[in-house]
Amino acid sequence: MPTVHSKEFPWYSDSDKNRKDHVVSVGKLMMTAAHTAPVTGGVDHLEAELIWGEKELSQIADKMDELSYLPESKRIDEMFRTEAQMVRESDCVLALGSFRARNMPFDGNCGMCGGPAGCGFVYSRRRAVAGQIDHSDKSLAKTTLDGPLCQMFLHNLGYAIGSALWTARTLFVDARPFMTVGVAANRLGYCRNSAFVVGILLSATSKNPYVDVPYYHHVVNIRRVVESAHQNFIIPRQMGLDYRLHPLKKAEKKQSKED
Amino acid sequence: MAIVDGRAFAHEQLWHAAGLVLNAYYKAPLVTSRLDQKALLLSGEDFMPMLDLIEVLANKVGGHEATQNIFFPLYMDYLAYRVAVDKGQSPVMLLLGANLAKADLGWDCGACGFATCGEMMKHFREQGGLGRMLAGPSCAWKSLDWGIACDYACAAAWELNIENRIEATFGLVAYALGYMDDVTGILALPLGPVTEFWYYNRPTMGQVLTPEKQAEILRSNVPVHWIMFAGDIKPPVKGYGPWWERPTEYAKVGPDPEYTEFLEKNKMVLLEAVMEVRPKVDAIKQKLKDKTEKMLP
Repeated sequence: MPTVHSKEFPWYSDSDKNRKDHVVSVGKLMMTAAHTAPVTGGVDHLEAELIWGEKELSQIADKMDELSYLPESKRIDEMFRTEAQMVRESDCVLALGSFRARNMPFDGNCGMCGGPAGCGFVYSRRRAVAGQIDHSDKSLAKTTLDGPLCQMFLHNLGYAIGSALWTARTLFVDARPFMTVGVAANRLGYCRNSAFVVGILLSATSKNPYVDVPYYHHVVNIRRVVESAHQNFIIPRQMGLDYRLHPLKKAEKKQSKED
Repeated sequence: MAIVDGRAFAHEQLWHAAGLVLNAYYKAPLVTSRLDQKALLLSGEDFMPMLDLIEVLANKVGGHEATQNIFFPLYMDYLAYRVAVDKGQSPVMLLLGANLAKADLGWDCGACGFATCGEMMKHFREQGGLGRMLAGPSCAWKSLDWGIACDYACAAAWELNIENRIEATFGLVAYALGYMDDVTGILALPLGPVTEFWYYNRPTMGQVLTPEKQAEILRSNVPVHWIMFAGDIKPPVKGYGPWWERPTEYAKVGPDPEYTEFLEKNKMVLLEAVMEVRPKVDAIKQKLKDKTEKMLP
């Protein structure tokens, strides 16, 4: 009779991959919830991408490490490195982006981005031609994110993230949204139509990897501890002896006589 | 033994539900975890000044139809509330607010359009203020987080199967009347009336939306769908019914001084209406202050 065996450790064993597959299924349901979230005027602006696999998650984490050393990240370098470790300990990443926020403002003059200036705040700070923002112009981006963006769509992206997180919560899967993960995923080409992406990390393990985090988490974490244990146990093992010539019972008997 | 009418009891329990919705709002998982969500809960007489504002405005501009022309979505929402109140089914109104201009993250991420958080705050102090619905500029991450929190409130209401809809229109009304301090924006989340459809498939829309009016709204907002030959300087536009038998209509983009004057004039009228109703809200706030002091030692 076929069964599905699920176990957290060893990482990426068949049983662990079964467990991860189930989290991927939850990620798909979260995507669906994100698409049905309330949105101003019912205007579709959402792009979603679900990423899993050891190599794929490592790529995102490595990109976050790399971003942490850029000059524009100097105030959030620790955040990038700490959260990169959380990616490595996650089962999958759900990237959610607003594909309209940069190039197609809501045009409601709502005031969220610049107050009384209305949408002119965004249009006057971008290369705009024929009444449209020129998506090809990347020259203004001197910061981690290429602003200004339509904040009505950013606010709406919050609803999509909220509905995705609510779904995860309902299914008892740990999930947390991160700016850093979204930036790295976007730079790697995920949610490629969006200039503003948030990465939601998902995990279904005994310990929620997104809370109770020690300082220097990128080097003080369970993966590194296991690697250290591997190394530090192997070295003293060299001092072992031949179990056939020196069985434990014999050795213990000898010891008790000496005592 | 006790007996109670089901609908009346369900209506009374909207207050209880509002508490659960607010707990979801405050405990939403945020990207920054630095959003200071604010909220107010009101109904009955404390809610009435919001409707009074539209009615005072209607008196000043010459009736309810003229009010619709100022901002149709606002009037749609007003009507839904007015009818609910008249039926004794006043919703419990949640006002959700936040100060999005408080850019205290220090990330200097650039999403707001300024190189540093400090520059954004400076711009807010010197040139910021109210747009059509909310004040700005805003920290992009606070805007996003506020969206997550508001979504959690909506999701909680949804899970409880309570009629609700999040609205910027009545958030603006609450903001203009000064219901909340130290916020750059308010969104309104009405809970109830106790019915299936009130804010979607609106039964109240039948009072204001005729087929002709709907056709006018659609043709004015989406003219490309009705344009006949997209090669003329002034392309002819089709209409509903036997349009070919009527004089041809043409589309052309250009200034409309008359309409601009109408809108400018009404900005001042709106301000006058706000000043007229605002003392009622000031009295409500004083009552709230006294109550809050008793609730929170």
